[in-house]
Amino acid sequence: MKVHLRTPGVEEAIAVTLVRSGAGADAPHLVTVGAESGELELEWIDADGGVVRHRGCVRPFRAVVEDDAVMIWLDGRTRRFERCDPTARRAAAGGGGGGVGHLLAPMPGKILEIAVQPGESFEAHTPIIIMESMKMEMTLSAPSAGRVARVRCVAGELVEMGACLAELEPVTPATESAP
Amino acid sequence: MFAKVLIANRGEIAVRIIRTLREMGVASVAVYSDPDRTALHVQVADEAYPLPGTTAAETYLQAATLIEIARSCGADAIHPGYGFLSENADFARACVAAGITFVGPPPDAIAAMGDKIIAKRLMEEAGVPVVPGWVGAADAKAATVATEASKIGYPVLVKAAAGGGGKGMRVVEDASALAEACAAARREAGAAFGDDRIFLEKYLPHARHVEFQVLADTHGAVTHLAERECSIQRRHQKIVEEAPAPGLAPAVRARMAEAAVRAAAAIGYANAGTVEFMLADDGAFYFLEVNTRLQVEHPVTELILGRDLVRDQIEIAAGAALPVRGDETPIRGHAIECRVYAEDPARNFLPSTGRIHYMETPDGPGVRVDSGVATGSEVSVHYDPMLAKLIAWAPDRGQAITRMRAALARFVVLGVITNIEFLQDLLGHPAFVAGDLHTRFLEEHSIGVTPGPPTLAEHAVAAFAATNRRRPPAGAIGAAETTAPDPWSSAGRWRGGLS
Repeated sequence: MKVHLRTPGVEEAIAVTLVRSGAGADAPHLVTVGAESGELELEWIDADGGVVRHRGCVRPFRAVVEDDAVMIWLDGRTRRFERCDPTARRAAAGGGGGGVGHLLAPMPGKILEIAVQPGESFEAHTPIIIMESMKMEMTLSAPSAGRVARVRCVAGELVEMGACLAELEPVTPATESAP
Repeated sequence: MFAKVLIANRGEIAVRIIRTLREMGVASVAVYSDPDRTALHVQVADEAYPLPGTTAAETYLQAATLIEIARSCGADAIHPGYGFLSENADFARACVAAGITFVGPPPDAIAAMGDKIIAKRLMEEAGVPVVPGWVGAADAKAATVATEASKIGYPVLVKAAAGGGGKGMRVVEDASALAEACAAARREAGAAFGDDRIFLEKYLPHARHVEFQVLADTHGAVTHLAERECSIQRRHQKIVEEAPAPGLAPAVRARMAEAAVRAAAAIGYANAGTVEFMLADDGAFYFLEVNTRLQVEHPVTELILGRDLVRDQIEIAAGAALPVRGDETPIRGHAIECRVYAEDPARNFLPSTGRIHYMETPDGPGVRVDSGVATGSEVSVHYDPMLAKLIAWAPDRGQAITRMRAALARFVVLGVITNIEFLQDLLGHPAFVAGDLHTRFLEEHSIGVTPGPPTLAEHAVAAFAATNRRRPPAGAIGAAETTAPDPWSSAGRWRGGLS
């Protein structure tokens, strides 16, 4: 069985192959991730988790599967993976460099103030939107000089993380250099 | 003693207060906003009444509604917990006016300490050392502020007169950032407290944050219950606290304790409070503020002294004489608290919201969990992102660290991002283990905020969970009833006797 898993912050999904290494239903699993592979036994204990047996160690795991996300806890560490179909994901990522930049909410919260008007030009680091979440205020500033193409939120609005708050057009973009 | 106490709060502190009330045989009353209607604190209280609405302003900050609920259900006292209305002098006055005991200090003491500018002046008059700074007029010209800031010497700290919890506070490294920092602090303070007065203080980057727990009764007696070290902070909010403060020289400790008691006595304090100090490398210490309420980190004091501070608060509020004297209470062992937050350390500690799909808390000798959430709880944007406090006690600091790290490694939260792994890395950092603490610890040490790539086993577990339907648990009751062989029925029906 092959699953494509992606960890947050990592661009490419990784193909994970999990097969039984023998005939029986209790045969150990053979897991292959890229060039790496190993044999281990996985077993559910209850609806929330089970154990992994590997080279004489038995470790508990906990797992929650929700839509296309898998959250696991193993050895004191929590991981979140997204299950994804690599072709669909590449299409969604878009071509990049379309001219318009989206100012996305870095956290869920409330919009306190919109510091710019549509059509307004701004310098780099100009505050664009001020938002607040759980006792914390945050100023979202322009990454570079530009013009406000569209404001897509209103003051007082509650927004989800990743919501597009404004569309910004960079003006006279400087020659791009590698960061 | 009171017959019934209303807790004007939510989350872990409401649960924790209810625990003590139950031990004391006092009935507890919870209140809840719409999103909290099934929250843990509502489930454990003897009675619970709704506060219609969602935001804190619509619900837990509705002083009149809270007092009305207390009156109609027959509660004779209100415990405010921390945050919300706990340091609101008007609320305390309204409770008194309604004939309900406010479990906290006299309203005037709250008002005096709530205004950081007045507090500073009172402490100076009482002979308690304060941080050098400038308290300007609200309408001071930008040029005046700039002149005063350079007189103090950068870096300076811009603070809100009505501030608390890091709100309206900005560190300014040089003159160019001063104006913007003042404007931001004013805006934040104005929005949060309805008071945008600010003042400047010398920023002491390598200082430690050491605070003293004080306890005073309504008959004029004041004592201290030792100190807490709270230097590990992010965004000026504490995340790890411990007691006693590691490596604190006995002479300095004694002088600080004396100053803390003097500070409390000077403002006619009663009930539990905390006097916060900045402690510089050279042993000089400066008054920071008084928190006129129960602190989040009170459990570390409880564990090293074997006391219940909520019980002390309630007994004092009921008129009892001071139950203990600080200098007569021996400190036993060492305790550390870690605040478990729904936040992402890899993304500058931004809050994380959502449903907790699964949660499991550690236990064992010397391990205490004060939690306000459980499996199924929703973490919303409306309230503080602290989920729980994990507290570990051991005979000495080294063992307490080991115990805490082991407990963190068994604390499972799936569904929202937490700082649990960050805390594990922090507690294992050589500088933390050495007790080399100061308020810029997290800025100066790189704690593993970016997790490494997943291991083979992690990938295997994720793939297994994603693709394998869970089998019905082998030991489930239903399964046992239908599949386990029953010696009596099979013997009777099929064999007609044992063969």
